[in-house]
Amino acid sequence: MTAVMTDERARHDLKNQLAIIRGFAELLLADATESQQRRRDLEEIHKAAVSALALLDRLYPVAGTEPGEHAR
Amino acid sequence: MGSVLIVDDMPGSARLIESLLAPDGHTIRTAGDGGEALELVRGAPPDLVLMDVMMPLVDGFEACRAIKQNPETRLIPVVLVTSLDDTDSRVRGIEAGADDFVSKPFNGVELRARVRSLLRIKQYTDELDSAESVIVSLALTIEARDGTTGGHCQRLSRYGSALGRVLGLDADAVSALSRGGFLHDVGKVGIPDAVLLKPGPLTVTEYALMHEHTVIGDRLCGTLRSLRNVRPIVRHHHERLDGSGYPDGLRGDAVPLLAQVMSIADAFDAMTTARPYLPARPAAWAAEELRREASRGWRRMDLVDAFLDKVAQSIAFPG
Repeated sequence: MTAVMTDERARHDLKNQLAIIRGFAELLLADATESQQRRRDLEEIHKAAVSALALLDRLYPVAGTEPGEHAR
Repeated sequence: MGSVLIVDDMPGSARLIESLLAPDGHTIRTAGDGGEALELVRGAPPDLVLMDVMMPLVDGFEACRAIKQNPETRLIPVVLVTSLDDTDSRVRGIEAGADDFVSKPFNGVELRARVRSLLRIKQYTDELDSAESVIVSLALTIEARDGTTGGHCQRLSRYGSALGRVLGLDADAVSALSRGGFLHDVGKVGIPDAVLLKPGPLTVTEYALMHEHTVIGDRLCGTLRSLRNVRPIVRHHHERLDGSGYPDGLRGDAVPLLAQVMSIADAFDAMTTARPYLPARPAAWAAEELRREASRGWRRMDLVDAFLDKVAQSIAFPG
């Protein structure tokens, strides 16, 4: 049997995975001992994760809301 | 610093929280779903639970509700992890008893601050808890002073809470009765042995002194918020509905129900146990005496009947 994921579940899981990448990138960036070269590499990982999270929010806004709409 | 349980079905997320909290030196355990979390909480209660809401099988709301419904674990703060934009989850979380929320993606600084502040509150409630156990120890010490009433506190705690359940009282009231059984006579700490253990009849002055135990006990418990439901039992378990009791001579419904319940259990247990001044009576004799006291207007007959039919029956005449 093939498990079919709901859109909501897929959005949630994808968002969580991206949040893990973003979170660990931030942790490593906070470490002052990293070299300049390593920092630039980490910043690329961080930037990509942040962009992907933003993209996800634009593609699948939470049901009933518009992107950027936080309160009614 | 404290022990934190992180619950998330994605090991990466749990590891991330663990790394974010690492600088504060907490002891950290992790669970992969709500069911596993509940097992860990039962086995060794943590000081804080940090839990994702969306998990397979037992989700965060259900696990939170279970923690908050169990009197043993309901003081453990539960923080639910939700998405920032998910108001629906927050409402469900509040209804499940959650103490706080954090949003994904995490802000490490905010997460650490919230965990620290909730752990501080948990420490205060733990200290209150231990203050209550000091008072309970005191009550048991008093019981030990009087060698003839061994087990009286335990029995009263059992009878009182059993009658509370028979009467359909809510969980807080039943818990107050259970603790009231231990604490009702805590004020006897202020009564001299010469009066407390006197084998013969008491003089008028000695009676007046003995009556003071209700007021002393009430004052002892007065400092603890967690004992506010128990205080009416401590102060009023010697009142009679016709106003002839002590310390305040309250009448009728003015006598708190929980005190009326405890008074019936107390009288029954005292009559069926040997005391310095009187021998033990058979349960049937004690039952008759309680009914006589109700007819005289001291007690509510329906409460006496409920106690005798549903509670005393199983204790005095088991099987």
